[in-house]
Amino acid sequence: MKFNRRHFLKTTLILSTTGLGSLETRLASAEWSAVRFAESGFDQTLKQISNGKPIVESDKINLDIPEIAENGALVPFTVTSTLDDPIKTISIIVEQNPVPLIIQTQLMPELEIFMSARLKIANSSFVFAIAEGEKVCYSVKKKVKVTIGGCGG
Amino acid sequence: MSSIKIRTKRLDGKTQIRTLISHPMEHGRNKDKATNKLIPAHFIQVLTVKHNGKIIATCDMGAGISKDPYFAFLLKGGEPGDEIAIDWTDNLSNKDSEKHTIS
Repeated sequence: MKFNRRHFLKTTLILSTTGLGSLETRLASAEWSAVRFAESGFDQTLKQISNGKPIVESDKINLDIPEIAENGALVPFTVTSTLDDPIKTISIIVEQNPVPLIIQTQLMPELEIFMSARLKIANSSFVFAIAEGEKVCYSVKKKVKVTIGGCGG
Repeated sequence: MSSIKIRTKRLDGKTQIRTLISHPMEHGRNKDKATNKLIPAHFIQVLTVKHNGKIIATCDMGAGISKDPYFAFLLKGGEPGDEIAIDWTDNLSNKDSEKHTIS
C-alpha cells in the first residue's frame, strides 16, 4: 500500500476519534481511585461507597459465602439479588481487612444482578455486599470465620 | 499466551461468563521469606467485560481479590457467535486482553 499525505491524514483522524471515544467511556466508568482502595477505616469506606445515599439492610440481596473459611486467602463468594430497583454497582467490603473495599463492580442493564469471585480475608470478620440502587444502597452482611489468615506472609 | 481464560455457557436464555486470570495479586504487605524484604504491591486495578464491543461490566478492585482471580457474570440473552472480550490493567500499568466467541 502506498502511503501518501491523504491516507496519513485519514488514518490519524480515525485513530484520534476512536481514541477520544474510548477516553470518554473511561471517564464515564470512573477512573480507579486510590482513595477508595486506601488503608482507611471501614466507616470511611462505607461513606465513599454509598455516595451519600442511605444504606438499608435488605433480604432481597443475597451474599453466598462460607461461614467458616479454612483458607482466608481464597474465599469464594456469590452475590445475587431479587430487587426490582435497577442496580448500578455491587461492592464487597470486608470489615477487618487493612483495605476494606475488595471490589466495586459496575453492572450494565445487559447483565443479571449476579457476580461471583474469590477474595482474601485477614481475620474473622463481617463481609458486606452493598448494591447501589437509584436512591438507596441495599446491604447484606455475613460473618465469616477464618482459621488461617489470608494476608500473613 | 494470554493470561486470561474465558468460558461461556448458555443456560436457558442466559449466558454465564466465567473468567480466570493468572496474576499474583500482591498487596504489598507480604514479606519474601528468602530475602526478608517486602514484596511490592502488584495487583489488577480495573477489569472490563465487553459484549460485542459494548462494556457490560467494569470492576474496580484492590488487592483484596485472591491470587489468580476468578470472576463470573450472568448475561441476559447472548447468542452463539457473540463476542465476549475481557481486559485488565494492573497498578504497574501492565495490560492484557482476550476475546472469546459464545458457542
